[in-house]
Amino acid sequence: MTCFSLLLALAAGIGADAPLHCAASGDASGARAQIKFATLAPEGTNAMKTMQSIDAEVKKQTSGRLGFKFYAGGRQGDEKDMVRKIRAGQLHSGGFTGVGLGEIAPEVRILDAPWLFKDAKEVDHVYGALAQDFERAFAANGYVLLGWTEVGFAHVFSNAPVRSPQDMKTLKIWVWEGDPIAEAAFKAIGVHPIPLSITDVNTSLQTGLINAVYSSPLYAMALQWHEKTKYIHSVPLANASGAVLVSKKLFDTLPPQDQQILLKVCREKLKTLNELTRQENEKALSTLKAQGMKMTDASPDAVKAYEEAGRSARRSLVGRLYPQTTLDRVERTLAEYRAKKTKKK
Amino acid sequence: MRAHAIVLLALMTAGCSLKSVALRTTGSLLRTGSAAYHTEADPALAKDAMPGQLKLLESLLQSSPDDPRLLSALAEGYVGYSFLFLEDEAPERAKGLYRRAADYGMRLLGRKKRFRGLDRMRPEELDTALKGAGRGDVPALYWTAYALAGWANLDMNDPEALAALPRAARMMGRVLELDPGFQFGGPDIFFGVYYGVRPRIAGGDPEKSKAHFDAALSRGGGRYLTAGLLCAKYYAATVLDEALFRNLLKSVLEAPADALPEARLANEVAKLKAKKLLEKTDDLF
Repeated sequence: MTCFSLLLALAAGIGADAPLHCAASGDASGARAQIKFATLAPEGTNAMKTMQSIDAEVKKQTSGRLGFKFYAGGRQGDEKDMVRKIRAGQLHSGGFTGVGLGEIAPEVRILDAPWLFKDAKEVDHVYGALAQDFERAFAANGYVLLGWTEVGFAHVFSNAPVRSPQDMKTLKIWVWEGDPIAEAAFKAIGVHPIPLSITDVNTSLQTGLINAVYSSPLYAMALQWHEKTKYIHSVPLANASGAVLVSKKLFDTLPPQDQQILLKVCREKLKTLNELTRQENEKALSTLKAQGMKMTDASPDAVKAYEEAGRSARRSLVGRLYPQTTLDRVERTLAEYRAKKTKKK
Repeated sequence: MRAHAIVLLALMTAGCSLKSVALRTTGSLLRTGSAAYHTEADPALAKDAMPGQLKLLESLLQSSPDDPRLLSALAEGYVGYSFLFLEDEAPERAKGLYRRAADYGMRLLGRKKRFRGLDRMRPEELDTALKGAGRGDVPALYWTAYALAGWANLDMNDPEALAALPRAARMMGRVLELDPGFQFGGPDIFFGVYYGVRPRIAGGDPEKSKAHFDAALSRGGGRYLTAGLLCAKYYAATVLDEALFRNLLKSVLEAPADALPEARLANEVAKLKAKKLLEKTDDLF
């Protein structure tokens, strides 16, 4: 390393909270660019293990020109804090769930819409069909999509069995305060949920203020909600999305070949992570069943009622999160996919 | 050689089987042997010697699968080996060996009826079982809880590990009530890590983490260096307090290694880890 590039590298290191061009100046001089990445996922999760392997691979392929610096486990605050810090240039990248995505590009939350998807294949089909629209939505808000990392299908976990929308009305069900999607879903079936911050859920389950929550199976275990509930409803409320994004401002400073390397490595590895998450949610469900939690199914009539509620909930979010045209496209794409599938059978 | 043969013969005619002699000798060896590890000043020597010792214990366990001294030494030994020498460099192996330690710990606890099937109990059943625990159960509960949490922290996506973690916390909570000074304040160190490592939404709580680390640090007068090391790693780094991070690690590095002879090995290893962690400061802040 020449003296000059050493100086530059030092400058990059020192500019911890400072201007973006210091932290990321991947140019012909050989200086290093560092992507500061934050997530709520703690060390030891597959999400963080995947990010670390992305870092190693990107470093290798760019001969050390590009790499990551990690803040795992919410060390930079919650997702809203992360978005704020990325805007201020203190961070460049994040692993987000729907909460953060809603702050960044609300229209993308169509993917979280209630009672929309029936299984992972439908999810993949719609994500694929609308990929460019979503990427454009991120770009318009200053972000580049590095990969989807869904949280998975969210189920209702409760202390009384749920088999229909009717049953849900009898529950004291939690809703994440400020989560428009869940609010719309519950409103559509006439349920009055109890809005609470997510950090209050455990205590409130214990005191009986609430007796039902919604979450993906793996998250329910990570949050230790499974310990305080007895039933899992088999009809998922929604498929909770998630994505790894990098600020466009930083991305644009990278030389084109490094941009390509970053995109390619991330897309590949995050796709694998996504598959792994699905398998783990399956495994979590069987672990929970083995521990004595009961799965409750819905009758065909109840399923129809959910579908109807889904349509009305999704319409109620038009204008607030996404335009009518996006909703129409998603529903049409899905209807076509289902029709084709039925025909094949 | 001949003398040995004579002794052996005498023992056999006295109705002792070779196995039980071996075991009886092992019993006292386990006590002095474990002390020999704790006071070891050369971590490299301990690192090389421990696996052989653990395998020896496992072979003895085969002929005496219910022996509490063996089960206890194995649970503690595999936790110690995983924490001291594997966790940072070979997390995949550490995961497996923490799990093995937890299995031995469960077997040890399972010798008492109230703890049987501990890994399938609902939270309220576990609380009831733990209420009946006494001071004599502390080592078994401590090493089992430590092993379960060690495994879970390295594999936060494994549903089984996730299910084991709240159980570990309940067990350690009971140890904290029964004997907070066990293993130089180990229960407080456990909760310092437990509340420090996870985000708030998943029950993490930096204030609680700090309170537990403070309790552990003041308990040993700072002589048990693992407390300072883990406080830097799991509290100071979590709240992005770089000055505290550096100070804690500096005091670990500057402390005399022989300040606590009965924890010499742990302290020597804490110094090595502190040095490595300090070198990683720029990656963390």
